[in-house]
Parts: sequence; C-alpha cells; structure tokens
Amino acid sequence: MPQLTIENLKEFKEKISSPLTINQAEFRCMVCAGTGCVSCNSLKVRERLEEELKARGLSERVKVVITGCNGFCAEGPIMVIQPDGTFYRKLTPEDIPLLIEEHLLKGRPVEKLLYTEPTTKKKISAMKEIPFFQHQVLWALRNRGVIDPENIDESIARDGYAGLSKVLSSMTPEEVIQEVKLSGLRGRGGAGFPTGLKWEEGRRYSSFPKYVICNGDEGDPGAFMDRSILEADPHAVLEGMIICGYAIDSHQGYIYVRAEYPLAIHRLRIAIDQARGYGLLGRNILGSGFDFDIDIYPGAGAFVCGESTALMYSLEGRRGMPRIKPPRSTEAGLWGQPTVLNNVETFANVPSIIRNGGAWFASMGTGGSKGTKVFALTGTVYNVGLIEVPMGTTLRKIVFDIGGGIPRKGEFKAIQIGGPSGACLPASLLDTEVDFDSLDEAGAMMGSGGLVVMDDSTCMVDTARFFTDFSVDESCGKCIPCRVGMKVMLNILSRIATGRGTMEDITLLEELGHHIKESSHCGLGKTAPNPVLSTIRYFRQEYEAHIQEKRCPARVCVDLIRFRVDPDRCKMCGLCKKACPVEAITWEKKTPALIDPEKCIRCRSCIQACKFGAID
Amino acid sequence: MTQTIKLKIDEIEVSVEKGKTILEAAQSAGIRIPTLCHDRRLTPFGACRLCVVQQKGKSELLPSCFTPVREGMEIITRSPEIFKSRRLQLQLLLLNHPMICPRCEKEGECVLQDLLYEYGVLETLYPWERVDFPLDEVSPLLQRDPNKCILCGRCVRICDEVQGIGELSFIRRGIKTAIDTDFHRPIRCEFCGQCLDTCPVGAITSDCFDYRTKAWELQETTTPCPYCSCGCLLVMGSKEGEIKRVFSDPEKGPNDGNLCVKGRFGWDFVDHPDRLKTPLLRVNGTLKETSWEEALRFVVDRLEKIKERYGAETIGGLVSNRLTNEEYYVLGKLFRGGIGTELIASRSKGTALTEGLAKTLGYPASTNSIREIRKADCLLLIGVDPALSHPIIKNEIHLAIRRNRAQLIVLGSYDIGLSQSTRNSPLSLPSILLLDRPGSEVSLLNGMIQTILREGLEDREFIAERTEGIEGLKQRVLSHQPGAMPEVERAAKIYASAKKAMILIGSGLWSHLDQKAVAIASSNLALITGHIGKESSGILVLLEKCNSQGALDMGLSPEGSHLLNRASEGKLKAFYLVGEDPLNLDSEPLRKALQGLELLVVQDLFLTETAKLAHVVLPASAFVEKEGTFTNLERRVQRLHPLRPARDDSKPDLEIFLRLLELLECRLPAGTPEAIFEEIGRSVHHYQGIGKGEQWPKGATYLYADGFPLGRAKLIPPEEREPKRQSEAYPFYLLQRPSLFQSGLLSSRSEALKKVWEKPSLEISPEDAKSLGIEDGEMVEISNPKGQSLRLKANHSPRPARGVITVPYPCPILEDEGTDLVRIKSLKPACRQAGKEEVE
Repeated sequence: MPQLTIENLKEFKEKISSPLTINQAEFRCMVCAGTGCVSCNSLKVRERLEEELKARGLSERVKVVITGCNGFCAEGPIMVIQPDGTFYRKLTPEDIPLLIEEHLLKGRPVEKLLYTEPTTKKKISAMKEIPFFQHQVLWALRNRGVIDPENIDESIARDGYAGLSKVLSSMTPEEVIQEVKLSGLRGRGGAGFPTGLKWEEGRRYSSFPKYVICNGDEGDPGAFMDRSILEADPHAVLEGMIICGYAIDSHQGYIYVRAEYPLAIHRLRIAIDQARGYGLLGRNILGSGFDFDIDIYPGAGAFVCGESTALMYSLEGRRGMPRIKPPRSTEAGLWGQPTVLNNVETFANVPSIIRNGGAWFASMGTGGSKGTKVFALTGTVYNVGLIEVPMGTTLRKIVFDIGGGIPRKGEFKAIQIGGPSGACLPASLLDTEVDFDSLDEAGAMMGSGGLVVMDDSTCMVDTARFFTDFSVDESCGKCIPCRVGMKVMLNILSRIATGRGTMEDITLLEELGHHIKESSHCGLGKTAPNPVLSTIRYFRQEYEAHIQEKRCPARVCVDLIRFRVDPDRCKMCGLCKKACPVEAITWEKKTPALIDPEKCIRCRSCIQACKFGAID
Repeated sequence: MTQTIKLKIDEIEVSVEKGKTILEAAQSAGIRIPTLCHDRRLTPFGACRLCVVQQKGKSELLPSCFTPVREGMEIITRSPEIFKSRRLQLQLLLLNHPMICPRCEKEGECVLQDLLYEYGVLETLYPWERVDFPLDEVSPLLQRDPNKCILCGRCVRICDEVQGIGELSFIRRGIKTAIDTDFHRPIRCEFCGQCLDTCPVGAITSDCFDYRTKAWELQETTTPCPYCSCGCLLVMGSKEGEIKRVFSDPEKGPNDGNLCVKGRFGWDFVDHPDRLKTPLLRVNGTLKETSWEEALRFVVDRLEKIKERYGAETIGGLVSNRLTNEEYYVLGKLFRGGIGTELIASRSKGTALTEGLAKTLGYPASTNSIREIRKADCLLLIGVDPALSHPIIKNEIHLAIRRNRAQLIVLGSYDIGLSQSTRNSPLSLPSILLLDRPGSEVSLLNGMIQTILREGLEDREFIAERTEGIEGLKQRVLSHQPGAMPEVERAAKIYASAKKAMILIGSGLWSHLDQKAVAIASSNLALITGHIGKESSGILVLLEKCNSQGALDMGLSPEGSHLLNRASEGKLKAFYLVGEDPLNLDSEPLRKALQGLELLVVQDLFLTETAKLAHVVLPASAFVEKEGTFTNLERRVQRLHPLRPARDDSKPDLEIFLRLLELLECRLPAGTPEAIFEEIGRSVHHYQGIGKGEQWPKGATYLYADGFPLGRAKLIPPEEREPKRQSEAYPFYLLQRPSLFQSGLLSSRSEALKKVWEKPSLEISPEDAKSLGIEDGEMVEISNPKGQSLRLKANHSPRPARGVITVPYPCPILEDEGTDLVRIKSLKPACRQAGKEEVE
C-alpha cells in the first residue's frame, strides 16, 4: 500500500486517473447498494450479474461496481451502465441474462427495463435525461453512484483528499477558516449555524485536546440524507473532518452514527482503514506532520442524541440529555474540551469548498443560504428518492419537476418539511424557496432535510398526531413542557381525531404549542409543536371539520368514518358481507346490503371487496 | 480581579461578579424567583423552567438559573407572560402528580405545594391518563415514590456531582422517564440521604421519620454533629423533645448543606432504651439506683481518702473526645486544681500529628478550611480514606477533582475509592498511587522532597524569607535517601508545580507508626514548595472525633493510652472514665486492673462493659441535651443548642464536674457554659475574641497568611524509621479500615445505622490472593503471633497494597491502634481438614 504524501498524491491520482481506467474495463455496471436497493435485493442482482459475466467470459471486459445510494430509491434495484450512462431500474436477477445479451453484447438498450416517464409514458435510457436527475446539482453527493465507496482509489481519482492536500501544503488554519466563512456554508443538521464561525470559535479556545465530531445520528422519520452520503462517499466526510481538525488544531475526531445504519458503519470502517493505510489519517498525514485520527461511535438509538450536547454526553457514556449553555461546545464540549460538531452533510461539503474556493460555493444558493442541500423526498410523489438541489429552489420545482408530481390523479395537499421539528406547508406556499430563512418565516424549518409530500388522502390532524406521537416518545424527559406538554397535545389531538374535540381544543393546542416552544430547553422541544402549529395555521378548516362536523375530510381518522352502502349502486351480490370480518353487514338476496355502524370496525375490507364502488 | 457586572432587576440596581447567573444576582438582592430544579450546590440544570424572567422590552423568556448576567441588563421577574408561563408549567406538573398531600410527609414544606398555592393552580383542563411507576419500599433508610417525583433531577445530580456515587439516574424516555437505580434494585450506597434532603417534593422519604408528624410541628434546632471532626451543622427537627429527622442548613457550617449517613441518620442513639436513667452505686457488689447527691458524695469521699492514703498521682481520668470545650476546661480545673493530679487525658488519635505541626509551623492545628479543598488543584492524601471516615471531606475532594480537575495523590498502604473513580473517567486526571508497607509514609514523603530539591522545583523565595533549617533538611534528604521511585518523582513534580496544593493527613484507624514524623515531613513538603499560608494551600489533619481539636486546645493530654497502660499495671487506685469504654475491646489485664481499683467512676450515656465494673455510674446527657461548644478540625468553634432538657435523671457533664468541684470545696469557675466560654477566651490565647461559629485565631479561615508565630517556620529533618518487618510466618500487615456506618460507641447504638451495616470482610489484593490460592469470596482465617484468630470472608480488592490486608473496624484481634502482622489460612474443605488435624 503506497504511503501518500502531498507530493505524490497528485501523481497517484493521475495514475489512476478516472474510475474507468482503474479497472481497464469496457463497461462498468454500477449496481446501487444503498440501503434501499439492498433491501429490494440489489445484491442478488449483482451476484447473478457476476456469475453470468463469468460464465460468458466477460469478467475482464465488464466490471461490476457496488455503489452507494443512487438516489432514485423508488426505482430500485438500480444499475447504471457506464460509460454510456444507461439507467436500468427495478431489476431482478432474472433480467440479467437478457441485459447482458442485449446491452453489453449487442449494444441495444433493453427497452422494458428502462425508466418510463409517468406522465408522457416515454422511455428514457440516459440517466442524466431523466427529469428526476436533470434538475439536481450534486456536490455533497457528487460521487454517488459514480464510485465504489469501498475503494479509496476511486475516491482519490475523483479528487478525493485533494482538498486536504491543498490545506496541508498551502493553507494556514486561519486561511481554511476564512475560506469556509467565505463560502457561507451553514450547518446542515437543521439549525443552520454558520460553519466557519463555529470553526473560528473552536480555534479560539486554547485548551487541549480538542475534538471534532461528525453528527450522523440521523433520526427524523423518513430522512436518510446522512446515511446515503456515508454509504456513497464516506471519504468526503473523513476529508472534511480532517480539514476541520487542521483548522481548529484538533487531533481526534469521532463519528457518532446510528447503530441502525449498519451499512454506513461498515463502509466507514473500511474507509477509515483504507485512509489510514494510505497515510491520509492517523500520524503525520500526507507527510505534513499533522496528526488526526477518527473513531466511530454507534449511537444507541435515541432521537435526542442528535442534539449536539446530548450527543456528547452519550459519547462520554452518559445518558443523552441536552445540557445547558453556556458554555458552548466550542468552548467546553466533549469531556469538557473545545469541540466542533458538524453534521455529515456539512463535512461532505467542505472538500469541494476547499478545492473550488469559498466564492464558488457562495455563488450557489440564496442571500442567506449558500450551496446546495440534500433532501430525502418521500410521500405521494412519483419519484421518491434522495435529491440535491441548490438552495433557493422552490418547493414546486422539487415536488413537480424532480418528484414528478402526484400519482393516481391525486391532488397536492401539503409538503411536510423538517420531520418532527418541521411543518406542513400548503399548496399556496409551494413557491417558497428552500433556504433557512424563508422556511423559518413560513413556520417550518430546514431540519435535516426530510420532505414528505402529501396528497388529499392525507389527514392533517392525523399527520400532526403522527409527528407528535414521535416527539412524545423521543423527549428526553428533562423539561416539563416537552415531556408533559407534548403528551397533552397528543391527547388533545387524539380527542379531536376521535370526534370528542371542542373548538376550545384548538386554542389549547395553540397555547400549549407556543408555551412549549418558548420554554423548552433544546431544539427538540423548541420545535416539537411545529407539526401541530403549522397544520392549525394552514389547515384549520380540517380541524374544524373534525370537531364541528365530526368528519375527517381525508377519511383517515377511523372513528369519524361512517361506511354506508349506496343502494343505487349496490348490485346486491353479497361480496361485502363475505368480506366483513365482524359481521357488521346484513344482506339478503336481492336486497341492498346494510352496514351496522355500531359493529363496523372501519377496516375497509368491504370497500375493497365491492366491485361496483357502492360502499362509501 | 474578578470583573463586576451591573444590572437592574425589577428596577433594583444589582452588581455581581461576572459569570454569575441572573438567579444568583436576584437572590443576592433579595428578589425571589421560584425554582424547583435549582440547588445552589449543583451545576444548573434548567429543567423546571419556572425561573423564567424577561429582559425589559423583550418577550423572550430567559431561564434565570443558567443565563449569565450581562452589563446593563434590565430584568423583569414578574409580568403577565411570566406568570402565565409559570402557571402553565405548574399545571403540566400537576397532571401526573398524585394529589395526596394530606398524607405526604412533605406537606407544609413542599415547594411544589407552595407554588401551586402561590400561582393559584387548582386543576387543569387537559386530558391525561395517569402514568404509574413502581415504588421502592424495600431499600433501607430511604423510600422512593416516583409518582410524586417531578424529575427535577436534584437527587440524581447531588448523588453524582457532590457525592460522586451516581446511585440514581434517569431511566427511559418521554413521559415514562423516571428516576431509579439500575434495574429497580434496592438502593445500595453511602446512604448519605442527600437525595432526601434536596428533593423539593415528597418523592424521597425516610423510614426514620414517623409519618405522623407534620412539617410545621417540628421545632428546628441547629447543632454540630457528634461524630467526626468535620463539625457539620445538623438541623434537628423535633417534636416535644423527640428527634424526628435531621436536615442540614445550607447557609451555615463547614458542610455546605451536605451531610453523611451518620449525621443524617445516626442520631437515634440519644433515645436508645439502654440510656442510663439515674446514677448507680455499687452496694454489696451490685449496682443500685441512687440519688445524685449520694453518688457524688461517695465519689468525693473516696477520692479524698485515696489522695490522702496514696497520693494524688494514683488518681487518673480518661475522657472521650466528644465533650464540649467548656467541659474540658472545667474538668482540667477539677483534676489539676481540685484533685491535684495531671493524670487527665484523652485517647486522641492524631494529636501527635497536630503536635508535629505545632513544632514546625506554630499552631497545633490544621492550617486551612474544609471548603477550601474544592478549589485546590493538587491533593495529597496520606493514610486516609475520607469517604469512610470524613465523608464531607470526600465530597470536597470529589468537587476538586470534578470541577477543578485536581490531581489526587494517594500515599499510604491502601488505595481509596475516590482515586479508583478518577481512573474510570476521562474527565479527571488518573490519581497517582504511592503505596507501600505501613510505616513507609515518611520515607515516601522524603522521596518527594528529595525530587523537588534535586530538580530545583522548590520555592526559593518562600524558603529564604519564611523558613529556617533548609540546609539541614537538604543534607539529610539528599544524602540519606535512596533514589526515589518514578511515581514518587511524578507526584513530587505535580505537587510542586500546582497552583494550590493541599495535604490531608488521616489520624484514624490506619494510624501511622510515627505520626509526628509524618506531620513534620508533610510540613517540610508544604514549606519548601510554598504551599502554605494561602487559600487552598496547606495541611489538614483529619482528626477523629467531634471535639478532638477542642480537647487539645483545652490542654488535655492526648496520652490516654499511656494512662490505660498505667492502669493495667496497677499503678492507679482511682480511675474516672468519661465517655470511654476501654473494655469494649476485651483486654483481660485491663479488666483485672479495673476490678482491683478502689474507685472506678464511669460517666456515660450507656451502661458500658466498663461501667458494669464501676463503683459509681453517672448518667450523662447526650449532645442534644446540653450547651457548650465543639471545635472542629478546621478550628471552627461551634455552639451546641439543646433541643430538650436532660433526659430522665441524667445531667450534662459540665454540671457534674461543677458539682464535684463544689463538693471538693474548690473555687468555682463561672457557672454557665456561656460564662465559661468567656473565661476560656481570657485564658486560652488563641480563643481570644472569637465569636461562635468562627475559626480561631480571630476568625482566620487559613493560618500563616502574615507569617508564622515562631517567626520563621522550621524545616526539621524527620526521623525515618524502618517499618516493621514481615516474617515468613506472619507475612501480612493487618489494617483496620474505617467503616462508613460504624465508627464506635455511638454508631453501634444507632438502630438506623444498623440497617445498613456492611458484613465484615477481608480485603486482599488479587495478586496476594492468587499466590495464596484464595478465591474471591472464600472464607479464611487470620491469626496473629499472640494466637488470636478471626474467620471471615476474603474479597479480592484492588485497594490494599501488596502485603497488606484490611478488615473493617472494629477488629477484635487488633489493638485499638496500629497494625499487626498476621498470617492467612484458607478454609477451603481440603484445608479445613488439615486445620482440624492440627487442632487435634
């Protein structure tokens, strides 16, 4: 294994130049092995592919590469064939022989395995022409699907560690901090604290040792940005941390990552081993004399441990509970020492900033929010997946251009942004630009970047209840408002959702919500009422329908749904009676069925059984 | 200099030190802000959010307990928004709090109850389903009801931050969050009850309380603790003369509101059924109840006869270290003036240490105060485990380690729990261990001194200006010492370069063979490094009993052991024992000698083993029934406040001494404790002009700030003695380890403390155990050259040095002081058989 130095890193990179030449192959089959694709059997696809290639003696001409998350999770398992960039989706091992015959041997794309644009029904073969990818700008995710994350050479070939080399050879720590400040990079963990300022603070305190912590405790339901970055490009994160270490004069970093991310941890371990082997981590990095090492700490599964001070307590082996500030962590963090903690995505952005300059990064985005942001786009859109867009992109563009709009002729109703800390924004706010400040203004927050699109089959009371339930369970229990207040909010929501609410309940919710926001200690408590407050703010009529009309407009809240047989449509077939598990339906031949609302458990079996749409 | 910040709170100008919180600033100005989770002793936690305030003109609610003051702030503590927020907070708290106030011990002093009343909270509109938590009703002394708990975390934090134990912690999340031990097991800790003390509601209670008395019925009396020499102030809550509980006064005394298990729970000996009720007189061989007049007349008549026939030097008195200064003073008059003998002494352990200090520094006392320990950055502990003998000092050391990152150096024959915890936590510096055979203390100290002098780490200016004898010391230490071991060197360098270093010397059970030399060597070390005469820099002698220092100050001879020897040898005809039970540890020669006396007077609370032999037994009053003063180890003179008159027909020791003086027709000193204290002030030089609760001399928290009474402090090369050699037959040093729950005559009569006594076990280092083939938890027999033996369980422990074993106090086969050489025999079945053969 070569010991890399500042001098020979470039040479080494040129030698391995582009990922394609590393293996000297004609084709590279980039099989997505992000958690999403792995869970729909992409590793079996790879296995079959390798077997078939071997059987046909093609192993030399065609290389199979396991990549991190491609991003287009809705279409998994995914494989992209390079160099032409053909995008195959929803592959099964059985598709492989055909694919080899057609694409690799005859040079003809396999039509049926290509992506179909849902509205025009057009087949698109090139990945970059698929609208989902077209509108994205990849920087944090620049290596996703392009390199094998378990091979450091591929990362180096794509400029990995070039930023570090630049820093160690030609920049003072102050210059590094200056560059990061110039870039306008703000923390991607949710609160958006300016990264350069944080580093500057961390440098200012002269108590040693100092620590760098990478926060990979991504806990928002539906968010998987950090996981994808760690799985697709772990070296970018390592490089960002080392640069930070150099900037603040720290020699030890920790990555706190969810234990529920085994693949990310696995790849990080490999990446750390490989970086150490090359002399990119550990003692005397790149022969510069600078020492920095990184260890991984798998978290024990508490949402609150994503809060920086709770995370540090957890790392110290204590109960994860946010502590009071001052002092800030940059003054006294881990083990009471100056500590700079940033999110995975923040660190992943650092190498590009160093390579291309802060001004380059600042040229993307809006006035207050620079660069790009990664989002996990889920919910009722065609294109579920991981996306990266420049700050300032409108929600509309994300939902309709990238996400491909709402399937099944549904109508856009709301977009939930920021998970349990965030808010539901209505259609009228679709032109809101995603940046820290305008989201804040809309009563939402960037959060770590979960975007859940909801159509008219989603009940907003139920949605608020879902997120509140999450916060109730995950409150660390320290502050009264969060611990007790959130539970009260949940109880009130349940009361409303079961038809026992009063109009006063809305006032109670608002009053409590504001109280919790202003008197809780940490970010979790301060934002936990957001899902409720935002749904009241933008969807008050739905709450009123639940309370006054005892009706759930989206027909989600089971206690408020009454199933009824439309006698005009009923063909008197009796299928519904057969389907009913609780004998709530009476039916005789040649009479329309009748549903006893007392017995009905609203399981919807009858609706599904009825072929004539007679049950409503 | 610390910077001062000026701000306005509720329109009142306040100036406080920079770094203080708004709450502290408000409190200093007498402005009350409600809190539940705040405890002055703890790091702010910010959980209850009741202490919110606002800045003038801003709507944001600031938690005042941790928001630092800023120059020019204008704070409002009362506004409609603040009121609303606090009220809502209380409403939320109330949801899961059982409203069973009438049958709650805390009723009447419950902070939550008071706040609910103040903020007019009655019921809430909020929907709620009660969450039920399991109770802890099986732990000894402490009971917990997590349903009443408001999760302020004060118990968790005091246990961790101040006590360094961490017995309780938060478990689970969300609304199910509770405070519990691991896996809900019964509590097993120091039982200091600090959690009970700090709990603002009734979630932690004690079974020592009778559950029939209401808080407002309790009469509160503040008086110093009768156990160790820390002199903690107890606030005793009593009803009609019966003690119901003990809390602490956070504002007064050396203990900063902290108490240990003995102080908090060990008071019940005063109401023990065995308390003597009337004087007893031996008539025809049996002790019969009698009147005071008759008993005292008998004593005086006998004394006069013996004096006449054998001379005054055959009359001796032995006094415990638990009497008041006034009593010692009058007792001195009784013996010296009334009887005409100098043979009045106490068995003080550790007074040789103070004597050593008197020789080098001037005063026979500790140089600094207990609460200065927490600010030191280097602590050298010599032969003491404060966690067992002086728990309040353990707290201070823990604070120094935790908050000040102090370096702990443990010197002696036995490692301590405190130092072991420093090695578990990356937050503290691992402590340095200088462990060797008992008796090596002086040699280890000289090793440190040698390193300092050799490396030029000494404070030359201090030595030149304020000491004498450096040349002699240099000569002795540099020439005669073998090269120091690396750990000693490391310890020396850290001690010498510390900003504030303190030496704590134990005086208790792990007695040093040569206390005086240890004291001299310690003072040499402190002097050459200039670690004396400053705050948090000096030497503390951890004396054993509540008034050990006072006994010494009042001129009582500490040579009680010599006096006992004299008695054993039959050289005494009359012996007057006050609060002493030398037959507690059976000694046949002494028993015989006492039986042969012409007069044995025992003055005590109980009919002790020795009292059973007495001619006259005089019932003394307990500490809660008398007046006077105790002087603690930091020279603080504190006043006893009786909470009730003398019980039954007992009398305060002072009254007995005065009456005897009267019967002997001597000139009486002033009659009341108050007046006697004034007299002490006139005749004992350093007690001049000190108020009650102040430290002598003249209220000095630390001594020698402006020089030494001797002019210059003396550096004296201490005598080094070779420690007792192990023999092949008896290869182990046996040491008694102090027990937290049982320290002597008083604690053994406390039913509360009995509940938590530990089973005696022998501690042996794993290496020694391995070489003997003794497994952890195995029964062994230890025996000494005198042929005495003891069977008990052996536990492997990282604490004893190689070649040292420890058993808890009291050890029946050890003399009260010192160490002995013993051998250990395993009692495994095979060995047991071998043992039987031997016997046969």
